[in-house]
Amino acid sequence: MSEVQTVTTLHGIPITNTLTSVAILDLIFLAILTLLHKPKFIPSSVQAAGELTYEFIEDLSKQVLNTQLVKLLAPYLSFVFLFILLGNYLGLLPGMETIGVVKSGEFIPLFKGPTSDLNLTLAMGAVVFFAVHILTIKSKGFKGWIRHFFMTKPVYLAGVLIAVGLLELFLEPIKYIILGIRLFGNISAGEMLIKATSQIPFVALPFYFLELLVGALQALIFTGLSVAYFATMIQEQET
Amino acid sequence: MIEISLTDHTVLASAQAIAMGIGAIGPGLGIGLIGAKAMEAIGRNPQSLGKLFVPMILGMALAESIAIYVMVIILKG
Repeated sequence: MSEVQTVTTLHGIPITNTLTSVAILDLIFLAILTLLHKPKFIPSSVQAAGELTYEFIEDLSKQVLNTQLVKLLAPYLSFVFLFILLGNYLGLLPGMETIGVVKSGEFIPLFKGPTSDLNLTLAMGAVVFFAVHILTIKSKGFKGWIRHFFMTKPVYLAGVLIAVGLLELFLEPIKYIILGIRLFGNISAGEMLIKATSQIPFVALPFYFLELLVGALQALIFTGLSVAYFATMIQEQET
Repeated sequence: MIEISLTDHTVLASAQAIAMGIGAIGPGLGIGLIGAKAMEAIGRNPQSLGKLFVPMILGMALAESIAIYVMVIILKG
């Protein structure tokens, strides 16, 4: 089954096979950074790809965020987009889970798609959660942050409004947990689908291309929903 | 005559299958409606494709997440 397995332990810290894949992903990003250390006027292919991604995310966030926030958030969001995209495609690379070690009669793959690990995707959701709320408190103040959850308008409904506000406050983290779970669920379901269909020759091929599409789509969905959450919290009109 | 043994494992497996089947009805309808309305809008105004595409995908993702809840419960079960 496609479960996260521990390869070795380092001082009691388990090194899982998704962690090794994340290390490879980091190496890829370091390579890209060294390649783009000095941007040229006439861009190379790698630089052109990076610029295209950045412009795409910038256009996406310009539709709902103001220019100051776009300047602040577009680099982070395009990095997240590229990270998820490359992570998804790294997991889909043919032969990815065939390299491994045999430990006590059991085969353990060394590499596995990093986004099919719930820990990674939940951590990415947590980053968005803290970024949204810290930026909201910074731009609106603590009072404005509280006012986002508790409305004050019809005074005679104060009890109901407080109850609704408490519910909203309680449900706020759920949105970001689901943001992580959505990515994990889609990618690990795709892995299971490919594994189940690859028992019969050639049946897995159309599903493989479907997963290529889903991988790009999930990267877009994660960044798009992050932009939407930033927009709804920080830029809400005062009522 | 086929004998069906009701062990814990078979009950759990059938419960998971039923849960996924019922849980996929709503999101399926929702995604279908979103797609249909988006197609209608693009048919009326083909220039709106670029503006409609990303919100359509986001709405589909939000509808799909309900099926993801079911799948996570099944996987953890």
